[in-house]
Parts: sequence; structure tokens; C-alpha cells
Amino acid sequence: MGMKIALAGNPNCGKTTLFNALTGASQHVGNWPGVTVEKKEGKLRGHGDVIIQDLPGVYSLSPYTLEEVVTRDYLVTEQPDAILNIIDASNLERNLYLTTQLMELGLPVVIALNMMDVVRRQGGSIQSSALSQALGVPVVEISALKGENCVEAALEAVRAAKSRQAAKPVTFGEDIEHALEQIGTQVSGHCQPSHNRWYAVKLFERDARTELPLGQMAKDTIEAYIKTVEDAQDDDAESIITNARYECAAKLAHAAGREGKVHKLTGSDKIDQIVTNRWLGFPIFVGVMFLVYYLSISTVGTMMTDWVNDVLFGEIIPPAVEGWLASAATPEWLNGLVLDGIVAGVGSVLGFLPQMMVLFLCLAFLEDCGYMARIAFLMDRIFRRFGLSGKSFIPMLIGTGCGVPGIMASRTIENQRDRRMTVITTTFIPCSAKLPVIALIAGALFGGAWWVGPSAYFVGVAAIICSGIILKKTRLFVGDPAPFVMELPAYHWPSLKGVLRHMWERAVAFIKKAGTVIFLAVTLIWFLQTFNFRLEMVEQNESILASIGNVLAPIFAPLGWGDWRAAVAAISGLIAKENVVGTLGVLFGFAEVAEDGVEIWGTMQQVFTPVAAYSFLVFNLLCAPCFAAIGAVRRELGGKWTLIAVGYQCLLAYMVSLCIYQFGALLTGAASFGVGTVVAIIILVVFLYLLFRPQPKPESKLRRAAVKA
Amino acid sequence: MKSLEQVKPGETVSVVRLHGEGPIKRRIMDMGITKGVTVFVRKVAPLGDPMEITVRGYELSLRKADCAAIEVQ
Amino acid sequence: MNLPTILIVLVLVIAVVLAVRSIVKDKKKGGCSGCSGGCSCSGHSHGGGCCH
Repeated sequence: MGMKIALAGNPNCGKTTLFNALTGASQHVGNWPGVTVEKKEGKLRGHGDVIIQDLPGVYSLSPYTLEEVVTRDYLVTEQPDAILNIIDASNLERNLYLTTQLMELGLPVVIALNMMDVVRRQGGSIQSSALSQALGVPVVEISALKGENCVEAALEAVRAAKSRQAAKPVTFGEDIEHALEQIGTQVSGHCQPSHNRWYAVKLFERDARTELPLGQMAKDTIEAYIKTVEDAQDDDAESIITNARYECAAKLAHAAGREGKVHKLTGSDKIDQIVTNRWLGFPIFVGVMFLVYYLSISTVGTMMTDWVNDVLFGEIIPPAVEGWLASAATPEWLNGLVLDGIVAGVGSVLGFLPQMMVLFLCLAFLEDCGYMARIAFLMDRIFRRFGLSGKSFIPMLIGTGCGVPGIMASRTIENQRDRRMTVITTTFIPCSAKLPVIALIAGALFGGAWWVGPSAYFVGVAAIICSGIILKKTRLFVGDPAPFVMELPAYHWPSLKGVLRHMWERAVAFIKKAGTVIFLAVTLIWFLQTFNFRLEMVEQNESILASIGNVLAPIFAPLGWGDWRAAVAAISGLIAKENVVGTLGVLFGFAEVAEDGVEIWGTMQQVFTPVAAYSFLVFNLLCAPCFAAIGAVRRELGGKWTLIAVGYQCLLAYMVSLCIYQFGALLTGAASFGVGTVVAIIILVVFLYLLFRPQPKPESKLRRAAVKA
Repeated sequence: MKSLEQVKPGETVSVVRLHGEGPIKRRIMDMGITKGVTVFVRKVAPLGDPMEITVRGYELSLRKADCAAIEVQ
Repeated sequence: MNLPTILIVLVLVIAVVLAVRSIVKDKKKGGCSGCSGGCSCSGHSHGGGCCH
């Protein structure tokens, strides 16, 4: 005979972790409430006849949100054999508030007390036996994360189910109980006996979703009882019950030995008073990100990269390799492959390793010390302006490292539309792979100007914000912003070891990528630019790649970089963003030892004016991400939306780059007013319209009544 | 009437009354903010929104609009 | 085609094969083909496990 055990509890109490531990399914666990909106089932490990039903995380069983309605309907109509209530021990009262409601359903209840290690770390303690006695139900201490006692808790629930002993509801104050008793008599006969208490309370609360076939007279009697209590307590019925429940919860917590904490500002809070201060918060954020990119690209990074590029790959390696090949009398094509292909391509990318390491170092420091969380907190306000919550910013923060985990982090956003929008815009933030591109443009074409690097980051942020505003105003994305509840961890000095280790890991990953993906890609590029369709060795301009490139190049002419080499480079970015640099390295002869001492990237300056270079940079920053990221998008959104996402990104990139070039060229006198300018103006006008038009009315749904707390 | 949104970080207040009605009020109460409960204001984001408070032993972020409906002393 | 040439070509071919194998292995594991950002949530998401 199969048993059904329902898992119920607050969002974020470890319910999903417990579900995984019990059923062995692997799942995404988030730090934000409301991950599970669908119901999930699984068989209990080792006990195939017991089914574990995961219910949405809820704070209460009110009739107002979808999760709560789903949960209570299930518990009332489908009636599992027992409820396993997971409680976050570090948050006892609020969790017990729900418990009091679960105990009114006439079902056996077992408590799984989770996160005891957090309590101990905070210096507290809980007597689970005292709690058990006060509640009248079994209490099992578990650690869902470590998998301790989880199956035992479930088996305890099975035992309770077999005993068919329903949990006894908590009792409220005298006058409430009196009214409930009276209402109870009206209710009996209209529902099963075990639900008597549940319905009595719901009717007292004037619950909007409770319907019982009661006659008018019964309803009037009930109303009268409610009114009596309301007048006596000078409050409305719903609030009276809620208050009463919390009083119970507080008493229960006290019985379990949980004392109130002393309220005092910690060191972290004091720092936050400055960092999240209303006037200083944003400037500090801007300053910090600015510093990060400035340090990576312009100062420390540049010194090292210059050395690597000019010396290592300028004076040391290429001549040495050339020397070896000459003495080995290898054929021309092999020399070309090795020198002009591999050394040029991979070398050009590796040259930026120092800068990337500095970036990794800075990001690791910011993450580990806790500042990143504050940024989300800060950005929540801005984000809500255009209908997203701060939760959407987390993926973007992660995206500064790599877009793939950033996209996956969007899983914690329960609102489907917000999630889509977040996934689509996350890759606008420059990931570490785009850093070589930024550094290259900044170094080779802007003489290492200090503002280029940071500007790339803020262009990304602006793209996200503007996309958010524009998309939210279309029919596809309109809706209420999701509530945002977030815990800010305390600040702490990151351990030097930890930060260095992070940096090292990412550096190794980068080198590995250079040795694999980029190696393959530049080899291919070299091949395509060396041979023509008849596989004869030719000048670059007559190669296969040039033929393909020349077809595509005109598309990019309005953006200022209609040279086929630039077009090819941008497209090769689809494989990996570093390839843009690698390809340019091959196509512009990075490894050629210039006899007249021309700077390694000098040839590029002949093809790109500064404005065109910036336009090229922005295009590569905003357009579709690498295949790995696109794959991640597909996993999250499915095929159709992936196409829409990529299409939107490329379109936006194209439009923005076009405007940058057209207006920039006009301003710097490189071009005069022409068709291009007109097109740019039209785009700008359309863009501004989409940005500033009034917000259309969101649809009316149950969700609209749901609340942000 | 003093509302929660006017409270500065570091201050401890107790809730006198919840104004408003319906789902929003219920949600705030569900989170533990009920008549008589002690609230400690930890920090406030720039522009006053959101506020982070400690209530019943845990930390919660509340939006300014919601805080305005909570009368405290 | 002298000896050094053959050797070098051989080395390159092996390098290509290794590279391809490495990428395929990464694709199977998590689909981040060596995303140089250091996968596995370098984000502060404490408790926010990722992948899978």
C-alpha cells in the first residue's frame, strides 16, 4: 500500500535539498525564495512504496498567492498520509507560524528541524524534545545539506501516517476559541470531521477561497460571532488570527529555548551605512567597478601585456620559432601554419593573460568579501523602476566572470517572464572572455586610454537597463515585479589563499581554453586565409576566407568597419569571444617581426579609426554570446526563445554600433552628414520612443493580488 | 503617526498597527510583522528603498511602500 | 618532406586530437567548453548551487 508524504515548509528552509536527499533527483537549489512553483514527486530512497510530494515553499496558507493556493488545495483535497514540515531552525518563529496552520488540517505532522548548524554557529541552541512536547508532534533534527537523518525523518513521517494520529491544532485565546467553537457547530456536517477546525478558522478569517454550502442563517450567525471578537479586540478577524498564531509561535520558540537576540549594529552594518547609503551608494559602486576595469586593463595589466606582446611575442618567440623552422628546412606552408597561424593566433590571446588575471583577482576579492551582494541590494531599486527585481542582477554579477553560470543562475527567478528577460540580457555584461577584446581596442587603438575599459562595462549595464525598460513595455514581458527578499551576508576579509586560488583556477581555465578552442579556431582561420578554393597558397586577399569575408563585410560598412577581416573576426567570436583577438592576430600578422619596428598592432590602426574601433568593440560586447552561452540559453529557454534572444542581441548590437559610428564620425569630422547619419538618427528616435513611452497596463491575474514583502 | 519608513538604521521600534488591507497587509503579517512585535532597522538602501530589518530573529528586506503602512513607536 | 616536418605535423595532429577530446569532455560535463570564467558559480551565491 503506497504512502504519500508531503513536504511543506517556508521557502529557503532547505526543502528542495531535503527532497533531493530523499528521492535522489538532482535539482537546482537557490538562496532565494520560491524556487519551486510546480509540484514535484519522487520515491523515497530505499522505500519504493513511499512517495514524497514536494510542495511549493510558502510562508502561510493564505488565499492570496498561487503557491499558497496550490499547497492548501493539495493538503485539503488530496490529503497526503502525513506532512513532513521542514523548519529552518535559525528562523524558528516565522517557520512555526506556518506549522500552526499545517496542524489544523487533520493530518499527522512530523517536524524536520533543519539548519541546526547555523543556530549553533550563531551561538544559540534549541531543545528539540521540548519543542516536540510543546507541539505534540515528533521533531527530528536533520541536516538536509549533509544528508543527515533525512531518511529517518521521512520514516518518522511514515510511522505517523500509519498511526493515523492527526496533529492537534494549537489553541488561541479564550474569546477566539469560543467563537471558533460556535462556528464549528455551524460547519459540522458540511465537511469531513477532521476538517472541522480548518474550516472554522478559515470562516472566521473570512477567507476568500473557502466555500461551504451554508445557509444564509448560518452565515449570519457566524458573522455575528466574528464581529463580537473583532469589536472586543479592535482589529479585523484576519489580523486577529495572524497575531494569535504568532503569539503561539513565539511561545513555542521560547519553550524550545530560543531566546531573542540583542539588537545592535554589527561592523558589517556600519560599513553598509556608507556603502548602501542613499547618496554614496551608487557613486561608490561606479567607482569600484571603474577601479576594477581600470586596474585590469590600463595599469598593472597593460604593463605586463605590453611586455608579453612586445617582448615575448615580439622579440623572443617569433624569431626563435622562425629560426628553428628555417634550420629544420620545413616547407613554407608549415612555417606559415606554425608562425602565422598558431603562434600569432594563440599568442595574441595569451598576451592578455596578465590583464585577465588582474580582473579575476579583483572580482574574486569583491565576491569573497561580500560586496557583490550589496550591489544586488542597491540595484533592486533601479531594477524595479522598470519592472525587474534585484534578483535579476545576480546572474549579471556572475556573468562578469563567465556568461554560462550567469545564465544558469537565472533559474532562481520564479517569474517566467522576468527569467526570460534576465537570460536575454545577462550576456551584455562583458564576460572575462571579452576582456582581451576590450584590452586590445583600448591598447592598440586608443593608446591605452583609461576610460575605454570601464566604459565597456558600463555600456553593458546600460544595455541591460535599457533592454529591460524597452522589453517590459512590450506585450511579451509586461507584468508585476517579483518580490525581493534577500539576506546580506556579513562582510569579511577574504582569505588571501582563497582569492589567489580563485584567480589561479580561472587563469588555468583560460590557458586551457587558449590551448584548445582557440588553438583549433585559429588553425582553421589560418588555413582559410592562406589557401584559395583550389588549395593553392595565395595572398590573404585572395583566400577562401577573404571570399567569404567580402560577402559579409558590406553589412558592417555602416558601422565603420567594413573590412572583411573585421567581419570575420567578429563572427569568429561566436566560437569564443577571445577568438576575436585570435583571428585579428592571424589576419593582421601579429607574429610578423617588423623590421622597421612598427608596433605589433600597428597594421590595425590603418584599418580602424578610433570611432570605428569603438563601434567594433561595442558590437562585439553586445552581440550574441559564444556558442557555449547560447547553448546555456537554449537549455533555459528552449529553441524558439533562444532565436529571439540571439536575434535581439545582434539587432541591438548592430543598431547601437551604427549610431556610435555615425554620430562619432560626424562629430570627429571623419565623415559628413549623409544617408548613414539619417539612418542613425531614425534609430535613435525609435530607441528613445521605446524607452520613454508610457507603460501599458499589466494583465490582471491572481499574481497581481500577491504581495511584495 | 510614525511609520517604519521613517526609522533610521540602528533604531529599535515596536509595531503599533498595520494599515492597509487585503493581500499586502496579510503578506506583511505573514512575515511576522504583527501588532506589538519588536523591529530593529539594520540598513536602508539609497533612496530609502528597500529597508533591511530584523524581526523575530531573522532579517527581512521590505520595500518603502510597504513600510509606510506600518505604524510604529 | 623531411624528418622535422613530419615530426612537427605529427605533434600538431596530436595537439588537435587532444584539443577536440578535451572540448568534447567538457561539453559532456557541463557544456561550458572551458569558459574562462571558471564555471561552478564563482558567484557569492552561498547555498546557490548551480549546474545540473
